[in-house]
Amino acid sequence: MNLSDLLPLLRFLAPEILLSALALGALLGEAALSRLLGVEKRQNLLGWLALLGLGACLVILGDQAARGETLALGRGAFVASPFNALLKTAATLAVMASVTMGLRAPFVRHVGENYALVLFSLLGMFFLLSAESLLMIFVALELTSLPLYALAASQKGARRSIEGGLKYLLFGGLSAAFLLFGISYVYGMSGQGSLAGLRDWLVAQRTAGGPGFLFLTGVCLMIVGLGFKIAAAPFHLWAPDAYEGAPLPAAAILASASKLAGIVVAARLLLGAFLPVAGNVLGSPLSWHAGWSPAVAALAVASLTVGNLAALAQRNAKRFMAYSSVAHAGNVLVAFLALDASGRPAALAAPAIAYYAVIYALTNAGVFAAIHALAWGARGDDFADFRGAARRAPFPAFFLLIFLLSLAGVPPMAGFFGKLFLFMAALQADATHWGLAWLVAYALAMNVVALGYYLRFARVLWVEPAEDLRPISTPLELRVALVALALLVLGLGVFPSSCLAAFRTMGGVLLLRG
Amino acid sequence: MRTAFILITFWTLASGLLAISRRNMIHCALALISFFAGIAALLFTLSADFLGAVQLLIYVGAISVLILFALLVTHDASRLGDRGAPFSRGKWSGWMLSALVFVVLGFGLHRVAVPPPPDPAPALPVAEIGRLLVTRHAVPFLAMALLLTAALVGSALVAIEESSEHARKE
Repeated sequence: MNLSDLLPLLRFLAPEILLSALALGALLGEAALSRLLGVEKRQNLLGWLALLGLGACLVILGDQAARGETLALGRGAFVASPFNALLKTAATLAVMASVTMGLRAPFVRHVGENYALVLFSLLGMFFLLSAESLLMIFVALELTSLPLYALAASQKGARRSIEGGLKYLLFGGLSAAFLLFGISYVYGMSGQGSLAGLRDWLVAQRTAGGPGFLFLTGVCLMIVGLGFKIAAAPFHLWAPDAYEGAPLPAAAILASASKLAGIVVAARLLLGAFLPVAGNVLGSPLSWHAGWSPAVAALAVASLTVGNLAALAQRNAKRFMAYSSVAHAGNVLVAFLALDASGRPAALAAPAIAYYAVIYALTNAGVFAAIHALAWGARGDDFADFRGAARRAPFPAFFLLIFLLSLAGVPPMAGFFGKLFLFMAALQADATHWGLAWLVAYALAMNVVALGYYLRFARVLWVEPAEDLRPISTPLELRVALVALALLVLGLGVFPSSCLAAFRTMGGVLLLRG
Repeated sequence: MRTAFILITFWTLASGLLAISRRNMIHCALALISFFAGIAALLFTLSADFLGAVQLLIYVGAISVLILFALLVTHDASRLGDRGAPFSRGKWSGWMLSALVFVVLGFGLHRVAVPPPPDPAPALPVAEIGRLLVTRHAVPFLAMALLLTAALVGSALVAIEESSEHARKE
């Protein structure tokens, strides 16, 4: 291989290379500037540089998406496709919102390291969104999570930050152990490291008497690991503490970009590689077929129940968002089950999951940015601290309302179409027998509960009287971020079907080798 | 060989149990090192020589030193375990969950039809492993390097601030 062969490679890997350079640059910048500038100046300067670099990333990703070329390296270890570029764009936007939130609110003294961790985590998400091999999925998941553990615990003065970070680390380590154990069983039984190879092997095993119990055990262990990552009940226990303890910019990444990457990788594994052993949960339990579907259905029902009911009882905005994220994990898992009796997924399923994950990431980034703006003048982040905040800071409160309505699934926000497509996919799967109607009906009922608690939060902001009437000023860059995210959430909601059509035509939604 | 395997298995299991049940963190770490060594010995008995050597070099050699070092530099770590019992409130649910996982895994292993070992056992020379790392697995290999950097920065960030605050208090 000579140099001219490497140049096209560079074009596909450019976002990842730029991001690694940015992360290392942040470390060097901190080392160079720590004597010259104070914490706040460094926070601002390095933050703007990071935003600039991430902006350049967006341009490169946009170019990749527009060119429409694909590249697969090392048996699925790295797959660049227009669709992946689009997912990475969404993750980058969410992280940019988080960096913007941190520009003027130094919560750590080691600014450069903090930015470096944020960028490393985003780099992990980039690798994860491009990974179609078991090895790369594991490495990328760790690269995504490890910096987040440190970020969650970075509010050193606060006891709950340490507690949240430690819980996140322990649960995350356990989930990684489950995932790795599952991967070792799956790889050991099949000898296939790439997702496409796994699927082909499973299809071949159909005539050879099935993949065996041990393989399915491995798949179940992997589901446990993935369940931790996307905070599906009953593996959600870390989420409320980690969200509450983490500084708001870090919590925003946890709730948006990291979740997006987790959902996409779960879809690639379950609906891509393990599709032949899906089984199904159509109709009554007696007619179900063994496979991963019943396990995922149990997770979906548990997440919908626990997430929505527990969110009702929350008094703290961040814990509330954590339970809301559990509930949304339940919503998205419904579309994982959109398989007909012969195990073929509904045409809508994969694009609907991707659309929902993107919308959810952008909306959640917006929610956290708005809460951050409102918390500026508040004592803490309990609901009581936000009473009547709309009068003190109408601008962020208005945008928070938009994002909350989108999460609640009120049309014409994108969140409505996200949920609509998920549930439509589930109903489409077995349209003649209404096989999944039970699950969709349950999810709809739980989403009515969700509407109630999102509106309750909005009521706290808009209706309840404020004790303190001093206005809260919102920095310009945060206003810009809020407007941009709201435009995206509204825009994706105005043209939902064209987004979905674009996702479909981009190909390789799940696996590159169709 | 079979007797050796069984003996080493018991040694490994006992070390593992010690590592999670002792109250003194240093004792836990020492038990963990013995556990790592047991795993290395198991790998040797299974004629996975390369993996065994890696286990010895990385886990018994490097990781264990790292753990002990972290314990020594961490403030009061050796006495940390004395305050709270390692088996606390959730211990029964913890035991039950582990038993469940064990049963499922054991059942799976019990059911599996072990293919006869290939004769002779395939040897993967170290040079070939190295070559694979820079060709087919180049991307995961590079990502792993970044992962280690991120882990180092993250742990430094978590540890450094605490020590400086500690210093300020004094």
